[in-house]
Amino acid sequence: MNETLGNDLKAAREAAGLTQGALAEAIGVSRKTINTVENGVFQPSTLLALKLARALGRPVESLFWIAD
Amino acid sequence: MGLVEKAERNSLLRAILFYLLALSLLASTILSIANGHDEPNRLLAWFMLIGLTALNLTSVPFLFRQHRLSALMNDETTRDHRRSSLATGFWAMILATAATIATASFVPLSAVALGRVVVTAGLTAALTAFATLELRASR
Repeated sequence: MNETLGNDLKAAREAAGLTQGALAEAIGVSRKTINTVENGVFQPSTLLALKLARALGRPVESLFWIAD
Repeated sequence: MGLVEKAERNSLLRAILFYLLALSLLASTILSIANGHDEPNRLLAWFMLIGLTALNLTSVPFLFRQHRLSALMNDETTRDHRRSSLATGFWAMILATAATIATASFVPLSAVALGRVVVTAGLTAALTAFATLELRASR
């Protein structure tokens, strides 16, 4: 089994007109966290995923999904 | 300057400081073994240095800070980098132990020298791994 976590964070952030820094500020994390999540380098915790979804006004399952 | 930018700048400085710390630990171990210095007063200073260095690789210094800047400098990604770098340090220690035991079977080595090599290998690897992960994540 080689499942990875796909995400649409960058597109959703840009659609909301936010920079990485502004989104980071809104949810109380560093910019590098946003950067690594967007690039798929870092898999966020459930808590962080929910905070991102809330900040971007999107359901969490539309932001993150299991990519085979 | 916003809090996020300030945290980013501080994280960058911390990464550079960790590289310098790794270099100075390495240099101090090489010099002490080359010169055969293992006097108690030098060892005490070295113990303090490795204790503080090891502590900074954990989240412990951030446990008692409530400021938002501290939270940003020890967020989820940073804690993940700490875990990865500590694992790297652990494997570096295993390798260094195996290498020094193999060397000690040919060349006589003092217990102090052996201990210094093992601890230096672990901390240097952990510091370098952490600093590299932090810098890479900020790009």
